[in-house]
Amino acid sequence: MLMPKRVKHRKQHRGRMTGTASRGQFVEFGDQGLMATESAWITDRQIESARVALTRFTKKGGRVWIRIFPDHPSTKKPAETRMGKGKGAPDHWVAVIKPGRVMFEIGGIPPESAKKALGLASHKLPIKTKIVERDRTIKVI
Amino acid sequence: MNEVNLTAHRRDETGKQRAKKMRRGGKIPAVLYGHGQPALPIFINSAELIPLFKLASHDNVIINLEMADDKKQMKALLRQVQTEPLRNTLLHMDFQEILLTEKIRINVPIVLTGEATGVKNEGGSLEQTLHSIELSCLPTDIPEKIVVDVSGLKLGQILHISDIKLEKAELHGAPTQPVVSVLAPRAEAEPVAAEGVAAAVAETVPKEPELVAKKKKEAEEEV
Repeated sequence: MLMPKRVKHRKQHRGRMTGTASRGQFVEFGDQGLMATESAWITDRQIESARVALTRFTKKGGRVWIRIFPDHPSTKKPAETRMGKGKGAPDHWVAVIKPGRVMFEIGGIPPESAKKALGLASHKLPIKTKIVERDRTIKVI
Repeated sequence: MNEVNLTAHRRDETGKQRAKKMRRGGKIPAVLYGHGQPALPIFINSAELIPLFKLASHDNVIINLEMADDKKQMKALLRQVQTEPLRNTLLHMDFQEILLTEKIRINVPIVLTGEATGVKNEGGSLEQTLHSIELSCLPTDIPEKIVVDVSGLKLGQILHISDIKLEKAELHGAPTQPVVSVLAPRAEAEPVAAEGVAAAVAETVPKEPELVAKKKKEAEEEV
């Protein structure tokens, strides 16, 4: 599972997820990508699950790029604990995703296969997504 | 070399709210700069931009820009386009004024042709690592695209920037930077072995990452 090697602090504030992604909006490495259309915390397990779905589909050919990294700690209180007594212990890591973020990219396989693979990966994620191409047509009006 | 005519209007109102209002009215905010002149806020009617964005590559098109108020004419290049990431609607553009006698730096897309022998006969897969390349040339010599023939590439062979030859332009970037390569087919790993490796890795990887401050303290104590 993906997680940072070193951190400055064990716990972080939750933060806000307003607006759209300002980085990682374009397909940079592969030919097709999976873009988030909603904001969410994507956990390390979900990223791993989507990665496995993509690599199993591509098998011999093709290459997969993961464009997100879970660098935000998520805490959890133990079961059957009363409220209060401070923040819970770090439980897992999440990637904070805003709409417009390209999360996964795939290249080196035919477009139809790439779309199928990205469709499978999207089922592993808790948000609505769309498949985007490297060359996008800009809408003027 | 494609050329497009546009009429620019001077924009006195700046700011997020006014820009939004402008877009609702069918005007796209933009900025014009170049040749030591201060950046000039302008806007362009969106209907005029349709032919420009219908072109396959709008980055390397010479734009004949005419200022609506003083009828001043100039040549410009579209340097940056900002879009809304979900709907791909146009938000803002950067124009750079150019002289036809002055060399400019520009990114040109790389297009591959042919089928590599390493893919056709040896079962490899083609990977393009560089999709556009920066070059410097006169504005009139800007190529629409750089066509690279990959039909001679065998398994494991790599095509570098130094292998691309252009007559009227100078290429930038490290000569050893790969453009396209034919990779060997990936062998399928046995699932049992993979699971075993994953379990072994899970045992060795700590549950929590190391704290930066803690490491510093330990180092100080050692001294």
